[in-house]
Amino acid sequence: MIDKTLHELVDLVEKKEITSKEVYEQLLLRIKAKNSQINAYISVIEDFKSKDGMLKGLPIAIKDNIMVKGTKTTCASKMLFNFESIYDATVIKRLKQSGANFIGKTNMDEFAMGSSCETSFFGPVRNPWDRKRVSGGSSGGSAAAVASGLAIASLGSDTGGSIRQPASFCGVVGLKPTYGRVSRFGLVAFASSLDQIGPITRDVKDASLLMNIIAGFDQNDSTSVNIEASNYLECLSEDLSGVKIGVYEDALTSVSDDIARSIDNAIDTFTKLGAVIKKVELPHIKYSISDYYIIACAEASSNLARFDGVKYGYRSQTQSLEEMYVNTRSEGFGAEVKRRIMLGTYVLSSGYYDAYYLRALRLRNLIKMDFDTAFSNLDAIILPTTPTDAFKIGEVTKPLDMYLSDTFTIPANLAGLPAISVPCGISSNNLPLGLQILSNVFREDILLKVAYAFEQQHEFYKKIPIME
Amino acid sequence: MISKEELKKLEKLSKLKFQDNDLEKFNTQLNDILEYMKELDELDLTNVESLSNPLGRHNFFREDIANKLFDIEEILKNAPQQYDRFFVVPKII
Repeated sequence: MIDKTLHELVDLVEKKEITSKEVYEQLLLRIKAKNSQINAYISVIEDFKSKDGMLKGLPIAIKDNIMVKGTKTTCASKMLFNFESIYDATVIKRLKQSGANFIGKTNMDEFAMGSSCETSFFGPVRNPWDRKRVSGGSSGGSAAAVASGLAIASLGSDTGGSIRQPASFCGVVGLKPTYGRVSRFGLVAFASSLDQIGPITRDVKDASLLMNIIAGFDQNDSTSVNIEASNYLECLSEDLSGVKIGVYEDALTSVSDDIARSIDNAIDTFTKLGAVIKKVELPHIKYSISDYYIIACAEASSNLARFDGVKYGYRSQTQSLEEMYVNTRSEGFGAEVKRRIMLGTYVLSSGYYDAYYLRALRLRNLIKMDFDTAFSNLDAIILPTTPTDAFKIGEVTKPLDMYLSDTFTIPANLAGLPAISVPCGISSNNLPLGLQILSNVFREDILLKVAYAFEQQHEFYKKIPIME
Repeated sequence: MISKEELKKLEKLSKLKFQDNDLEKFNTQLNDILEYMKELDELDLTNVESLSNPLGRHNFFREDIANKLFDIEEILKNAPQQYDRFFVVPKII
């Protein structure tokens, strides 16, 4: 039963063929037996409650930067190694109201800063397709757990690709919703103008099911948007006649042959389904990495100022207050987090603010306008999720090279757009590849429909490596 | 490019402290990233408005009404050191 999707399990529970308690217990046993092989979880939750509602008591895995009352929320950092959540994030409250249980908190890059889960204080997540390789990041634990049968479905967070890139590397579905669509209340902030919570699942229907639960206005998030969400399950259809899809061909010049081929195949599939295929020009997208690392690091340097050893988390024992601040932060944060705080402080400091931060915000507007123009006559845009398949653990050593791996996922965060990664092929290394689909803001309905239609043609989702 | 002196200043502003050899490695890595960011120099952005919320929206604010969300004991549960109803820090004066 562990190889089934969430919606299939909901059906089986409704028909009384299984109980959610059986699923929960079987999953717990599997996690205890096999988690050490891939290190997908930081902590396991053993708290089954009989529930009704849409999810019938079935278990969801949660990234360890989202508060679930009574659980540790570590952000995979020494800084929060002992931090206990004292409230539920809005997404957790919504899931509870819909009958969810929780099975564990998943491993991630420290404070969601990374693209491989190698920056976790608790060690890297291993890719279930090839354990010498990374899971991707930062929501690598959530993606690897879903891919390996250690979770049915999970939540992650995405600031520059942290849901979509690990979903692509692990061969599962990952959706970053429109900025403001899902409440960030109870998500530990990394870069507040870019962060969004979203589902990581085995198929598009499960992503729609979870979006029906977590999407919606929340007065506790001042950037939450009060626009009614559709019923995303009702949007799914295999008929794409008249749907206009743009191909961002510039992305294909820098990728390997197998990735370029997977996109060609996707174009063939969409044509067959009745979609109209067009080329799309996005002239400023090529500057996205620079733009993103200025904005994200600036926001991070400000957000992470709260970790000073006073109110919660790790504290270095010292004689003076100043020493306590400095030593706590120097001992509590890992190298990548410190690098980003330093870079963020630099671009915000006097003399550099105008040259870096202000210019980056202006460029962000140009990137947004590129997409506005494109979506004035398109319903969706497709491009690869990643420039390569999953790389080996320890292979990427230069921070800049790691940053470049986010090149195709970052634009959606800068422009606030919804974007999804769905499995679309297998590389020459026998690893999964992801097709990324973007739509206009608040058009998750079209996004999910296009993703679903594609998925039904290929059924890559049936190939995930559920661990024996 | 960041000079060694600037790096020392950033360290101070960030409330971080590095070992000397780590600082050198950091400097190379940060300069690699800033070198890459030079691609932005070719853009003329003078007449473009800045965008901080990606939807171009403004944050909304709730009515300024106090709500009790937590008990003091709950908040203090995560404190590294506490006394009575207070967070305790090293002696200041």
